[in-house]
Amino acid sequence: MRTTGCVSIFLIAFALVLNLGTTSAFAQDTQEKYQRKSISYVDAVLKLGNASDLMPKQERTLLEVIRREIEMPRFDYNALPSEIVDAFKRDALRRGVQDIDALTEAMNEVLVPEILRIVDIAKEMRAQDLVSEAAQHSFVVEKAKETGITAEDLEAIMNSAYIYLPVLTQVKVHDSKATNTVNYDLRGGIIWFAVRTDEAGTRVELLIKDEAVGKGAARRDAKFKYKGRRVNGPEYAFITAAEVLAQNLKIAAQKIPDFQLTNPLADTGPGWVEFPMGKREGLGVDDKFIIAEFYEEGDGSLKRQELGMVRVARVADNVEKKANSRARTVIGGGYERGMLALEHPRLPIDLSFRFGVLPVSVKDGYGWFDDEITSNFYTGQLWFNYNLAQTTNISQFFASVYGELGSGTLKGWEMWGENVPAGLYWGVGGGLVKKFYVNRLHIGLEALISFADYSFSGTGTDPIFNKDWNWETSSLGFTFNGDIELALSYDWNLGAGVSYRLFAPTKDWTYHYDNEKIDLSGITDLPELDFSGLGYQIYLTWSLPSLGYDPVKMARGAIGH
Amino acid sequence: MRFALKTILLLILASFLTAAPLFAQGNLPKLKQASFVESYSPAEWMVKAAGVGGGKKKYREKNAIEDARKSAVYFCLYLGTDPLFNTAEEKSRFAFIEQDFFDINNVNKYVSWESAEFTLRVKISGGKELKIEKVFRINVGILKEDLINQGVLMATADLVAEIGLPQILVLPEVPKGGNPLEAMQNRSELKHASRSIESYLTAQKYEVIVPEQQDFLNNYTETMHLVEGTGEDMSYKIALAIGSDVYITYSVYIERRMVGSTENKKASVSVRAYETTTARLLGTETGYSYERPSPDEVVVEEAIHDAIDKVLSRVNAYWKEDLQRGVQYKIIFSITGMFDEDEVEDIQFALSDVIDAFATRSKENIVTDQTMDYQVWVKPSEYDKARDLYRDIKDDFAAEISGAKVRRQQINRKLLLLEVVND
Repeated sequence: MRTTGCVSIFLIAFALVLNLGTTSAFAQDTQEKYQRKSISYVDAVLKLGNASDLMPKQERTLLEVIRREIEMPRFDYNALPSEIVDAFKRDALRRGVQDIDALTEAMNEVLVPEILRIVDIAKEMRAQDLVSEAAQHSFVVEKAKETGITAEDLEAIMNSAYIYLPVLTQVKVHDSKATNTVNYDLRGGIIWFAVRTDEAGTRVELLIKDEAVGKGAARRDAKFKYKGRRVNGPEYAFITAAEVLAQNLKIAAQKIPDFQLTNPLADTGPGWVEFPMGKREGLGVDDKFIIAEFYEEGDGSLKRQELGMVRVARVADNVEKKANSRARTVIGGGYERGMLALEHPRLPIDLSFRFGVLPVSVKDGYGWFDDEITSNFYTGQLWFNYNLAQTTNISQFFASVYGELGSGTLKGWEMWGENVPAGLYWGVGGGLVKKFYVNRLHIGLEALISFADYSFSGTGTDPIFNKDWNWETSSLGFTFNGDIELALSYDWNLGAGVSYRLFAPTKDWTYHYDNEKIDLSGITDLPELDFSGLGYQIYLTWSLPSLGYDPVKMARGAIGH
Repeated sequence: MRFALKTILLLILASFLTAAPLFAQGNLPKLKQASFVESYSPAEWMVKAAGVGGGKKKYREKNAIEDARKSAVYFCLYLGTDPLFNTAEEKSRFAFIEQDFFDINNVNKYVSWESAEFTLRVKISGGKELKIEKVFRINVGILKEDLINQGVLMATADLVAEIGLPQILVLPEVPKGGNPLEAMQNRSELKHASRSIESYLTAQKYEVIVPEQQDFLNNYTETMHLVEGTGEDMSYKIALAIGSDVYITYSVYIERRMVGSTENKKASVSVRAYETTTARLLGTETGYSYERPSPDEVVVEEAIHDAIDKVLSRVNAYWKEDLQRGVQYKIIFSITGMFDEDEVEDIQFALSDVIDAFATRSKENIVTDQTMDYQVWVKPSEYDKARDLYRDIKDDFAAEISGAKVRRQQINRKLLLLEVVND
């Protein structure tokens, strides 16, 4: 039975690994380079359904957080004059815009001419990026001191203008005085429009609609500090929901083919690749890129095949001059110059599902049992690893929080004449994690502050003392983990490790008998429970594409500080 | 035993024969895929070429790039509209040295620049081979020089020694009856185009004539008057009057379009080359510029670069072929003296005999009672000047017939306008 289970796990892992080689059959430019896009926005939210009740202050907050996430360095921004935006809003209001067609019409009439005017002014400068290396060495550039820009480049710039409009479709508020909590559940998205100019004229076309959710929660009566100002519980819950929504929309935007960072590899070496992207495109340490290669089929068509994945290790400053960023190979290898690097956007949060075997021991204080009994707790753990690489510039450096729940028995242990049954163990903790990568293999070192709690309960067997009883104790300590991980796919890692836990041994028990807390202050011969020792864990880690809520912000909201 | 030995020998022979095509490939490019991008300068061509690389994975890219370089050079030699090899003889002479010539160390000599970026990179043959494409600048000047040194191409220097490079007259194309010089004065882009062509041709060491002012032709008024009857094509008349070997006409058209608030221009330039003596079209090509937000002069020059090189190679091909026959002249005899019908006939027979005596080849274009129009080829070793030719015609004619003599009306490099008068 156990063998069958192991085989199943192995097969799942193998299937995940095989998944890397998936091919997608479509023809395209084998040396496709990301071309900067110019983005315009209207500082308004299209409110549909029950979202129309959104207050102006909340609308402003939502717009602010969405802009912060969506306005990525890979875009150029066309700031629309306020009078144009006002005119658009008035027009949209007059038309009673409730659907995309009406919205498109209003955009075509009011916004598009202004956007084109702005793009037009800067188009020569922006088109400079599109001039190919060969064109830079053309006769015209060398002799006539020309820039090499062609009308095709200018047209590409004129056709690279986009407008985005946030849409909110659902706002659910659960405000409970009884539980002193407020929850916000936002559902919304972004509508992307592309401005197209050709012989037929200029118009906007619906590009894509992205949808996402965001949840936030807080204590009603609490006060929080947010961006230097004080906000109350409901405000905090709304802000955190809006932030999660915006972060998910950012990932969705990065996945849109028009906005996906793509470039051929400029150089390669053992375990590393370089590509011509950097700060200018907003590249960050630990950003993931899929490496792909094109194959010519028998009929002459091209097929793209994904070969593996790399992770950015050094971001080049290419704002002023051309420079290459370097990435380390995670999956695959033997990459060659000219292969294509495609952005694989993910949230900077990894979710880890762990099965842990934790040490526990108890020392007798009275003589009920042997001097010391050692055993293990078996726990399920949920870890949230926040990647700090973008702020610290240290690759694979995480701040982690976790929660665990489990059980275990210390065989032979008796308390006040009763056999101690299997108890309930839970713990929480947080700390720092650093991972070192050697291709698919990662070595992880984790240092955490942990809180552990153990309780067990039963019913007295003595004819007199036959009521329910409960023992509980807890302790604070440190956990040091050493893990080894294997990247199964772009987003899944399989890991295992040893753990050393250093906790203060505790005799500080809480005892309830018949639902009454019994004062144990005078009793000194209670057993000493110790969570220290060696433990083990195996786990799966998942790089999140989106997450409906931010656990740290939720925890902060729940704590009320 | 003897049978077995024979069989083995036959098998060895057969295997050599089957392997022969493989050996024949040798250093030659595998793919031979390339396209012309632009004529960067009179000596350099920008070519986009593809190459295939096989073998061990780590060498595939290097092999593919080397193959692409070979393809780029191969293109300059054999492919496109105007390759360096124009004749079967040149190709067969090259066949003897092609293996050595396509040795990568030799090929590298001709690549003056190549892009670091690929324009295409794709795996073929199920991933066993790599195909790449990139842009190269090939120094056709050195390439040509080496081929001349190795006896594959005929040296331009030999031509110069014998008859000189063709003298080329450059004029804008005008409608029938129009004056090309006036057109050039009125349209600045035409003037700029002629200067670009002139600059390109002089860089190639051609002798170029660009008559920019009407005054230029005043020196040729008499000749112009004499060639009045040759037709309505003013350019042809000017070429004849001046005596150029070849004349080139061109037309410039600039298309304009707005992209946003920027005016973009795309120039197309048609270039035609003619043989002066007959107005025979030697080659025509239209060159295009990219559509750019640039001044007229830039796009016009870019379009000229696109066209002129191709036309020039056709002029060279014509020139080399024509050289085999000798130096070409147009001779027009006008019988202006007072002769009766029989005398005219005798004069015409005598003139025909005279021409047959010194010309390696001749062609009678027009014969009327008053006019005989000939196209003749003479040995350059015997006649390096038109004046020598005139002297022999005059002397031979005098020996043939009495009562009539040949007199010069006008002589230049290509044209002998002669009259037959009473002695």
